[in-house]
Amino acid sequence: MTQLLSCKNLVSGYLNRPVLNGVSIEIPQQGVLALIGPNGHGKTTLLRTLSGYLPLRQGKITFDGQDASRMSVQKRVQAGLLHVPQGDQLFTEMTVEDNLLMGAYLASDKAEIAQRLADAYQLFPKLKDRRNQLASGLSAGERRMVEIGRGLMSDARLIMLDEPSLGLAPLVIERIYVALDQLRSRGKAFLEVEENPSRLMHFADRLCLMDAGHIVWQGSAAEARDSGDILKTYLGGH
Amino acid sequence: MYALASVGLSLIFGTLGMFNMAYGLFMTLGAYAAYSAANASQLPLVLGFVAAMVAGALIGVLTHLLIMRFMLGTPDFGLNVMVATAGLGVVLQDIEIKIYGGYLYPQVARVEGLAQLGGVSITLQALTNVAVALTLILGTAWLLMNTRFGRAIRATAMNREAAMLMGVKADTEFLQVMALAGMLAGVAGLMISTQSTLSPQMGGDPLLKAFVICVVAGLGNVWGAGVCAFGLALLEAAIGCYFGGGSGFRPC
Repeated sequence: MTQLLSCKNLVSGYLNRPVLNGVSIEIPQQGVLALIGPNGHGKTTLLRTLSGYLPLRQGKITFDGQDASRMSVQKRVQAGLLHVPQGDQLFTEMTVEDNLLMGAYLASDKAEIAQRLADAYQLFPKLKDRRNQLASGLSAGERRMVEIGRGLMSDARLIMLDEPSLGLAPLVIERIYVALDQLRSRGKAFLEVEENPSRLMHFADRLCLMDAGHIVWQGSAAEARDSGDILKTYLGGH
Repeated sequence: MYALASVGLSLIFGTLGMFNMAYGLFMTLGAYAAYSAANASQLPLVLGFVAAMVAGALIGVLTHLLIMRFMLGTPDFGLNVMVATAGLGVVLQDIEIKIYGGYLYPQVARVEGLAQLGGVSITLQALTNVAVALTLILGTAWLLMNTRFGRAIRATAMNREAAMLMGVKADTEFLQVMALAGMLAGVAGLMISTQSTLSPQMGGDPLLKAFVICVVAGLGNVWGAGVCAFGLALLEAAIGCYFGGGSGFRPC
């Protein structure tokens, strides 16, 4: 089976400062690839480059068999590649439901949109009770649910999550990951940045370690567990 | 009228993060377009109104296509556009002077007559203006609150990065907002000119007030802009009545 997404020798960054210095990764049609590594070494930059938010300087991105290197963000979302950005990126003065509907911005079939909305509410029943509240009035966990739900509304095949557990209480993280597990069993692929070791081991199939704009190690979750040094160095033990 | 102008200006600042210094000239242009259309046709009112709307929207679109589009994504976008639109304003004003001359004209596209409201007589024009302003503001509000287009505009205003990541295209968004805001400016200009006179400089004073209103309301707050505008108009009317002295145009 061909890979859902593959990229070769990506170079990208901000203004005159390259952050990624030749990154190559591959993501299969299903399953979860996790990016780990210290802060400020290019994980978020990689997601932004893959989503098209940052322009690619060099290298090639292939998504679902098509060359996506020069595609606009809009085209990539349409193709099924979605980036859920890091930390509280909601439309705060809009209702929960409007936030979710923004996720389906590119869809036009009303029945289809209603179906996706129903799916999102089924995944996060709490959001249904709060559908007419402003996003700014939600708890941190509920907001994260809206972010993920909004990402789902685009009907993406590959969802890129930037630290979905950041700043949440353990119980809430647990609830988020129950939902993510459900999505994964429905055949969605994930690329996630995560720093919570136990969640990583439970959820990810493969791990990529980023350091100074390079992938310095990659392997399956089991391999990472065996070569304990890697986790100890970058995630502070396990 | 202040309300319309401010709502448009606020819309631009809120979603696009920029000041449109040529906005006053968008208004003037709308007023002149109405004047020309009304002079040339048998249906001065309707046609003048449509002409003002179209001219405003058109200049908004052109501003985006010819100027703003090339500045999108540059590091000092806000400043660049402010300077560029200020320049555009000067050019537009000179073009108007060239075509129409620097004289004052009475607006042709207007409603004549007086109405009696509980012993107070009020021009039909003033009533029309209030009605049109309210209709357009409520229409804009409805558009923003209830359509996919409006939702995208609000989303962009609140969190541009997230909106882009949902597939909203900055370029299209800017174009639509400029068209909408330009249309509001065109109509605002027409209505202002019915209350005073047409001149190439007539946009300056309302623009200044629109800026003040937008700042008081909180930049980018469209609802606040509408409310503050009516507040300023009432304040101006009261001061004008009790202390005398002319404002740029008399609200009552």
